Amino acid sequence: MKRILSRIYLITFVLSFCSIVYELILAQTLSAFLADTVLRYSVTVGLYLFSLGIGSLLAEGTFLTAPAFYLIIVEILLAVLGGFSIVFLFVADALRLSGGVFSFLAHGLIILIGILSGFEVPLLIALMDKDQPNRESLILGFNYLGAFLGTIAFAFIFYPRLGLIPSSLLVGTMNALIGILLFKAAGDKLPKGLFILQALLLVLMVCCLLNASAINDYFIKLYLR
Amino acid sequence: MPQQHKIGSIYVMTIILSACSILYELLIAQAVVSLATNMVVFYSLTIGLYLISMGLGALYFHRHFKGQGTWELLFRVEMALAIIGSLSVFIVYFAHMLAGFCEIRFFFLGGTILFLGLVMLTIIMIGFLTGLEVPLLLRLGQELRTTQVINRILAFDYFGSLLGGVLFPLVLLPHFELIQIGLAVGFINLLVALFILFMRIEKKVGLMEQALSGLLVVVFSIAFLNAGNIEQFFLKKYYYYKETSESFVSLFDPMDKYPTIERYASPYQKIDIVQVPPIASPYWEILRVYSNKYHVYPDAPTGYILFLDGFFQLWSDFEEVYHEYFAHVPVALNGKVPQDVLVLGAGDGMLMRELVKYPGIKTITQVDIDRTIVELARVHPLLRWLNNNVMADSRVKVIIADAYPFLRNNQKKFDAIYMDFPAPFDYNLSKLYSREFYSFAFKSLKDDGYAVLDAASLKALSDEKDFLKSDAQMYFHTLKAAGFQTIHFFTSRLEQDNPEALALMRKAIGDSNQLVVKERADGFGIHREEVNGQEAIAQHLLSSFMTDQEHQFIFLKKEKQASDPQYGEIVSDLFVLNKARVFLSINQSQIEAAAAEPSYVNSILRPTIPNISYWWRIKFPY
Repeated sequence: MKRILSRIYLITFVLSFCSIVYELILAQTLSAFLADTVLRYSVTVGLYLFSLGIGSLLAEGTFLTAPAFYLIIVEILLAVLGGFSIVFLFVADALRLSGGVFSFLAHGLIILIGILSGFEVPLLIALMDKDQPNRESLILGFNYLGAFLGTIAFAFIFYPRLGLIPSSLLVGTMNALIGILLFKAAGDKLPKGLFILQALLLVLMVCCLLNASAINDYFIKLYLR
Repeated sequence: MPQQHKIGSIYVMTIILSACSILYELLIAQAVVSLATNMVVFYSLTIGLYLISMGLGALYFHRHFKGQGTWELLFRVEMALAIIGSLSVFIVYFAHMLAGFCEIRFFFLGGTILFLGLVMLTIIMIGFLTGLEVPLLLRLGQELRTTQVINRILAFDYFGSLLGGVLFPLVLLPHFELIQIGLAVGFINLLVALFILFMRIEKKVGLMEQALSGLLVVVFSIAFLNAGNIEQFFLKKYYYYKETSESFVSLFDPMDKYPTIERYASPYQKIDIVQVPPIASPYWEILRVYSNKYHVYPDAPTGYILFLDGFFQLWSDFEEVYHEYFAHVPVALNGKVPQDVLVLGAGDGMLMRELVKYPGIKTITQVDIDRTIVELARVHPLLRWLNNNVMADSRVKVIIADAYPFLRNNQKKFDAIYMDFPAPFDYNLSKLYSREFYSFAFKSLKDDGYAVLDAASLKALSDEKDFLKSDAQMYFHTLKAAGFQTIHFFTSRLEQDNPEALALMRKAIGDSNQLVVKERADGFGIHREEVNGQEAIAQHLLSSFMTDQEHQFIFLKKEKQASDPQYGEIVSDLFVLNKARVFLSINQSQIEAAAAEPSYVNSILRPTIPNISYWWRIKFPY
């Protein structure tokens, strides 16, 4: 029991790390694509927090009855949407869509990632033993810790040293890995098909990560065309 | 109070308090980045440290109070937050004052460490206290009703964050001083405490604490109404930090004798016009050896410095050494006067004052993001005098736009592009120094056109030796990646063996025979050097003064230019620049490489400018 508990704390920590890094990566990319940096940045942060709230409200009800299953679904979606978020934005940009359509797509992406991240904390709390006292404050604590290291990692490593595209792929891979960890935590009650999907996604993410610099060069050429 | 109302007030408090919490976070981050160099790093550090302190608060609540939340505890937390929170901006400003004091009187890095330490302590205290709030409210809510209360409170917490996150940049920051915002947020904490007191939710609060809350209401109101004066106090401490650091007592001197700092705030930057004490003799006379401005215009304005976001922009007495070199050396290098010129940035108009001197220039298109600085260049008496009312010239067309999207969407081709942006100390500005931006500039240039950019920022963050080693490499390879074949560095250099200037310096030195030079060494500590003999001292002092006036620029062409170009004629009615100084400025070592080295390239996807190794440097006006 204790080991599952500490694994859930680890998962909480990694997930909040991933979420804040997605947020910062998206804010930074949007400020590169659209004018008026200060406004874009604050709208991104505001929208993200708003959709976190929507997500945690939506997580009430039926989702809480099968927390592990839904958490894995959330991780799969996050790995795809977050991991390839910058790639999506570059493709949208290359299609020369009108400013309004591009803006709509980009902000839709922020809201989607925010809602999915909002699901995480209630689902994680539900995943824990109901008798555990004050589980929510401990979960919150680890949530904050992950966010702290996320901002530090973004400022010192991800943005200036790795670059936005490799970073988003790396964080997507982390989301996919957490999905695998969740299978171990939840035991064998989950469908096999889901596990195969999860494993395939992880392989895809790792392949992209290994070719990150080629992907990076390709999209810069596309952008400058 | 009925149960239903209590739970309602918990929801309302959750929204209000989480909005306050994010406001503190943004507020401190804003105060810190206004005094530090690398904005994104300090923003992230503040937010990150704040979040971890909130986490510590939550964990402490879990461990220490065993989850027993009381209204009395909430009252105490709110009172503490009201006091520390409203002081937070003061503490950050004061920490910077102490840092300046320490840098001047003791050793250089000490000030930075002191600043970082004090700021971190403030962030941790406020983060810790706000971290107690949500678990406390959750516990109080759960005691009243158990179903779904947790998720509701969490959701309200997020909504409150959105409220704070949107209010701060869109409403508060454009209309109020940081000090006022701090006081207002502290006041909201105080209101929550007063609510707990007056609605008799908690009866155990002592008389002392009641009296304290009443006193705070009075103090906050007085401070809020005097925020303008307080802001001015700290502005003077920032710009006159050398004068204010004379003794520990003078740190607290209101400096009424010093002229008021003129501040214009726009959504993009803070524009400050600062009147500085006249520079000491013999430098005053030496300046007049190099520039004949005061011979031609004896009553030209003197002793003003323009700052953008606290960074030095121009000095009224000697700005020609920047703008004349910037405008004319490229014309000389190009060998031909351009017809259609694009000027990016340079809102103050000084660069265009130089460009309109060429009758051959037909149009000047200026793109600046900030309407405020362009308007000041048009109407402010000082700026208008300095830019010779260039904004009224019929060839000048101003477009208010962000240069990045402007250049990306631009279809017109220009003969010359001048790029004059603030120093790229944060990643938002570094976009204007990126490979992508330079590629757009490349496309907007005619095949025989030239581009020029100001890389002066390099000097502020690294010394001369470093400049050529690392930061110049970043510029070089970024420009190479954008396609430019001619990448020529030049410096606004003045001759240091000027006999007239040396004679003035010798006269001022008189009989003293030894000079101890203390310089900021790279990394830690101070570099000490002794200079002996009158002649050596004179040469050393003149050389270091002249080096202070130097700025770096980069001249660019699409094709490889012959190594020995035919220098074109430049206009003759200049105050500082002449033919000999043009040759002096372009005669410097150049970087050579056949292809761009990817690890140096500054991209919007991976910035190498500003250099992340210098993230910890804090801001001083000069």
